[in-house]
Amino acid sequence: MGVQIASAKEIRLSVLKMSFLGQTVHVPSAFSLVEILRTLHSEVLNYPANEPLHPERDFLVLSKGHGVMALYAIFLSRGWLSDSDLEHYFQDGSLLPGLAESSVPGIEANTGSLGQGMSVAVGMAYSMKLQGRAQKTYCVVGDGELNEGAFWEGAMFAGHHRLKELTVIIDLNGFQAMGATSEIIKVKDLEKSLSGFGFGVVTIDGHDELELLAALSSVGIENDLPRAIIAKTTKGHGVDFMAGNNQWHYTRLNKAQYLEACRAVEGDS
Amino acid sequence: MRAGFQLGLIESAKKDPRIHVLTGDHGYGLFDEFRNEFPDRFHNVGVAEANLVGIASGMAKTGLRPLIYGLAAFIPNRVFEFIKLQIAIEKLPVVMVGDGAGLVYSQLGRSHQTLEDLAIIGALPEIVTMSPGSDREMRIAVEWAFAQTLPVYLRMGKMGGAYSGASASGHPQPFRVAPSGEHSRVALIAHGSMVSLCQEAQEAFDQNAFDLWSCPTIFPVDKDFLRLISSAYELVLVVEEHNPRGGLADEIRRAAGGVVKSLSARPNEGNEVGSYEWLLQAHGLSTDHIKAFISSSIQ
Repeated sequence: MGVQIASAKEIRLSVLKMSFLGQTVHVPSAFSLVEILRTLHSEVLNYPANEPLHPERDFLVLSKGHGVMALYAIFLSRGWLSDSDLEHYFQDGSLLPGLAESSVPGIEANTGSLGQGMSVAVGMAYSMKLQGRAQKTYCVVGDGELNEGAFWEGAMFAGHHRLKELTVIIDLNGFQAMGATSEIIKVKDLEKSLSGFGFGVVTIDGHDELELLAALSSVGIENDLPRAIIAKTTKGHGVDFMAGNNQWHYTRLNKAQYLEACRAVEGDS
Repeated sequence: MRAGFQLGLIESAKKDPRIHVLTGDHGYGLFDEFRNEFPDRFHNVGVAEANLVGIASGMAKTGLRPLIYGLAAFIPNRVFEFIKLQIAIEKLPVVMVGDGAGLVYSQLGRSHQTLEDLAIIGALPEIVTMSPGSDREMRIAVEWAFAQTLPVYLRMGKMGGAYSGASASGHPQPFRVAPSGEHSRVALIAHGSMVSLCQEAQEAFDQNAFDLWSCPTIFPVDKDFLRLISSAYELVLVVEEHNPRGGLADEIRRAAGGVVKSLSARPNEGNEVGSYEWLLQAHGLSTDHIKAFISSSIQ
């Protein structure tokens, strides 16, 4: 809204650069999120005067805090962070934690510990309802993170109070740290689970920005309920040798792999 | 102390419309008056303490002043990490009340007995922690807490003891219970319900044997009081309904140095339950134990 957000390709290249320079992991976790976060920032979230702490902003809680590199890349295009900030990611004295922390303007909660962002987002949405304020709250959650009981505590509360001020987006990339969610803790029918908790639910392609925008505009979802958008994604989307290969959750890029990954992203239209 | 808590809360809420009360399905009867007065500002989030903390964080970030209420067994014990990440690090103005602290739930067993909350919450330097000993101290503590823009943990223990004092300053500062006049060479310091027991024990001693202090603010202990402890007393005795590690005694040892002897709850090796008075006895915290502790310490 008024600010040109980097393209998905540019965001992925920024993430790769941060990850290579800092020799960090979690690249695929960030890559499954890119279109989700990009659509929110470019089309949905309102930041008056482009201020990350403006009291009338909408709220985005990235509950899967290990996807934070994708947000840092977006903050670069908003002018909230500099190239130098990103280049010093994981360097001594860096102001950018490896997992999301609210010390960085634009990050709304400390979510390096999974399962906590949902209840903070619920609190924000509830607060808006109590105060009669129109600001919206969005919470992006990983599917591995759904193992955490606290997520469901928040979901129950949101459903009970019909918190239409809240939208939860689940990054359903099918993997968690140690393997496939289907093998570790499978939710048999996530749509039914969430609707049972009182959400209006829709499942979409989480890499298709048009589908994301339609869902975020409530197409196909009941309007007076909290909304849950199940975004089917690919962990590592955009780099063929990472996509769906969970060993990259914990693998650092060497120079050859970094250059190959950049080429893969560049070639991806 | 419940009356003091209710008064402090209602007076604060009258002045500040941002104050909301959230409970994790506890506090039967405690909030009746508040609910009557402010029905839209009372919220039961259900038996979900982690969510309670997260919601309070979200509310505090967006301009409200939540008080969260639970048993100390749950707030802070159960949700330490949520408090650390979602309240303490950001120094959010949330008042956290842990009720029934210490051995209050004596018959219910160890799930509800709470002798480690100070050690847990004291590890977070961003949080001011108070353990009032009287209704008046409790009311002052609540009103003071809402006047700050800091996270506060309010430890609420057994109600209805003999001690009824409070610092005349109107702040939750240490209060010298008795006697007045010259300082003795020994200070006996207590917090929460132990102040009343120490006051009972005091009657068995010569009036000048020691000065009894209530210390309602545990983290941080008042700086002037620490200076007084260092300069005016040769011996400091602490009595507290808490495990030996991590409570007021340890804090005074750390901050003031000098000789600090303490009488704390004993690590519980038995499984017996009973009345509050019975369990205090079992933990070595009865009036008789306090008398013996003082006698052996000051001779």
